[in-house]
Order: sequence, then structure tokens, then C-alpha cells
Amino acid sequence: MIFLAFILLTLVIVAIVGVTSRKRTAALSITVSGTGTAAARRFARTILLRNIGVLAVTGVVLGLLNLVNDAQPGWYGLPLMLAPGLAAVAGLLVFALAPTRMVSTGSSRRSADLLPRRPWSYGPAWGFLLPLIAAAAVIAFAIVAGFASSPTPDGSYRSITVGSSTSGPYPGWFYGLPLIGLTVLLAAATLFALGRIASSPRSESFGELDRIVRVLATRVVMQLSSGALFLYFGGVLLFAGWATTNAATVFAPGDGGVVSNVQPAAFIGLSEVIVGLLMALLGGVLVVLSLLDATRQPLARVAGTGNKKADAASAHPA
Amino acid sequence: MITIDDGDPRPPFEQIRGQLADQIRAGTLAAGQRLPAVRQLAVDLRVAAGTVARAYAALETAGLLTTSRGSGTRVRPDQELGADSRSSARRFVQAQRRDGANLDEALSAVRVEWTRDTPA
Repeated sequence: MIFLAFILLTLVIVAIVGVTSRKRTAALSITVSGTGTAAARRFARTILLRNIGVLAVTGVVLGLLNLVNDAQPGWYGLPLMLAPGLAAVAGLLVFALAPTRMVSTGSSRRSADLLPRRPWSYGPAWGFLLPLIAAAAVIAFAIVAGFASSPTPDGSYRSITVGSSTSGPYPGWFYGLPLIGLTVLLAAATLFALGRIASSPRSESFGELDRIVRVLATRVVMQLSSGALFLYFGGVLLFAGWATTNAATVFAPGDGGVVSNVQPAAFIGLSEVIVGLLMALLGGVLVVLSLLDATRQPLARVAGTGNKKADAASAHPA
Repeated sequence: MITIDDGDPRPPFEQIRGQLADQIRAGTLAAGQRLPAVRQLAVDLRVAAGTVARAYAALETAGLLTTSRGSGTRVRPDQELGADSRSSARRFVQAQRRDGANLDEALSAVRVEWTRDTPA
């Protein structure tokens, strides 16, 4: 029930974002006319195929990690916790390594503009800074939670003790160290994918289409990586909050009713649950937005609808 | 924007070097402006990275560019031709076009005058 509500809320937010950003997304589509149409369509198709490949690989890795989690109960849900991040890393690697060379016109003249393309050239600064801050927050939280954790009887740090009460699973060192490694890996894969977007050859025939494809690709990469980050960070916060709240609650011996709460642990636990839910929701929204952008066609289907026209002719000096 | 033409008798290195030098002297590339990385320019122009690197190195030797590890390759300050020189060049080109001369003929005229006025 909660999961269904989560999905529904995610879709409602995605719909609101879609309606409010309609003008901006309309600007990410152009009409190609004249002799370049076929070449531009071929290029747009390779981009779409690559993006579908990314989604397929991400889905397969998610499924595989789910199977591993079911097959290995002794890993205490670790594969499931890492699944969004590892799936995103696999998808980003496919994204970065898939060849998407612009279809060449085979002209004897080749042009290049003299503006440097950087990994962050095709998105707003906050789109890169926010995930970077979130990644730093994940690492900081994993370290703090590691120090706050206590060992279970088998010696692994995956529970929390408040007073004389212990609860788990808690993201102590057992979950925290892989979490830190995954966050660093995700950041590296994101930077690699952004670097590939910036460094791929510029199309001299379709300057505007080339820019739009790079903007869309940057959006997909940032939404996918940030979405995965917020999803697993949200999940970790939820579990941390749940375990902390349980450990900080004193239950009556008989009917199990709540006698008292140990503060400030109970407040921290509740805060973690709320922030975790919000993070997971943000993550879900970003992942759905990345799916939408990955399947968005940069070429408008109908010519002459007022969209921008690709500069197929103007880029070829006589 | 720079262009490589396979039909040009000059090698690609010389085409890149010449166009960049012209744009720096004309002020199209401003002082301090950062140029693309060697690899970016090479993939866009479909030439070897070494070709672009050689052009950048020649421009650095000529004092038009400066390269540092942190800030990349940038246009050195004070390399732009003076306003008088550019305006004279514009007038000269307009006169040559009126006379129906092509670029090669116009450059010949410059070379002749350059040699004539060179102090001994």
C-alpha cells in the first residue's frame, strides 16, 4: 500500500514537472529540412537505441541484484541496498561507451568552433552541484552512522544501541563502507559519461541538433545518477531512522505499547525517516524523468510547426 | 570557427596555425580566451591530435598562445593588431576587390610593399 502510494505520488510529481517545464522541453526539439533529413534521422535513431540500451542494462542489473539478494540471505540485504547505484553505474558505462558518432556528410571541408566543451557545459550549475553535495552528504552520513553503530553477535556493525535497547538493520560499517565505495564509483561513472558527451565529435552539419542531443544526454546522465543516489540514500535513511526510532522507544513488557522515548535519539530517528522518504521520492521522480528524457526524440516529427530548424545548409560554406 | 579543407595545398597543421594566428591578430579571439583542448579540436576537424598539438606549439613559440597545466591553452594578451592597421587592411582589401584581384594577388602586393619598406 505504501509502495503504491509512493509510485502514485512520484507519477503525480513527474506530471507536474512535465506541465511546468513544457516550454523548456519543447526547445529540445528541432525540425530538420532539406538534404540533411535522412542523416539527422539516422543519428537520432542511434541516440535513441543507445538510450534504450542504457535502460535495458540498468533494468537487467537491477533484476540480477534482486536475485542475488534473494539467493544470499546471509548478506543481509546488502545487494538490494546497492542495486540502484550499481544499476545506474552499469547504465552510465553503456551510455559512455556506446558509439554515437554523428553521421558524416563526407565533405572535404571540416569545421570546428573554438569554444571549449567541458563535462558541465550542457547543464545548469545547480544540476551538477546538488548531486555533488548529496554525494558528500551520503559519505558523511555513512561515516557518522558507522561510528554510531554497534556490532551484532556475529561481529558485523549493522545495528544501533540506544541505552540498553538494540535495533537493526542499521547502516553501520557493514553497509556504510560499501555505500561509500558505491558513491565514489557512481561519481566517477557520472564524470566519465559527462566527459564522453562533451568530447564526442561535433557535427558540422547539424550544429543545433548536436547541442540539443548533448543537452538531453547530460540531463539523462545527471537525472539517472542523481536519481539512483537519492533512491539508495533515501532507503538507507529510512532504515537508519526506523532502527534508531525502535532502539529509542521503550515498550511495555505486556501488550508492547510505547512507554517512553529516549531523546534526542527518537527525534533523530523520526527525522531520518521523514528525510529518507523525501529523498526516495526525489530519487524516484528523477529516475522517471531520466526515462522520459532518454526516450525523447530530439527531432520533431512534423516540419514547419514553428520549431527551430537544424542548420544543415548554413554549416556548409560554398 | 576554423575550417580544414582537403583541397588546400597547405598541410592541415599550417591551416590550423594560420587561421588561429589570423583570428588572434584580428581580435576575433580575445586576450585570455581559452581554446579547446587538443583532443576536442582534433576530433571535430578529423585530424590527428598531434597535428593540433603542433599548431598550438607553433603559436606558443610565436608568442600568441600560452599553455599551463591548470588553465589550458589561452590567447596571450596584447597580440591583437592595432585599430589603425586593421582599418588600413580593410581599406586595402576593399580596393583590391574593386580591382577584381584575388587573395593571392592581394598578398603579392603586400609582399612587394613589405620588402620595399624593410629597413636595410
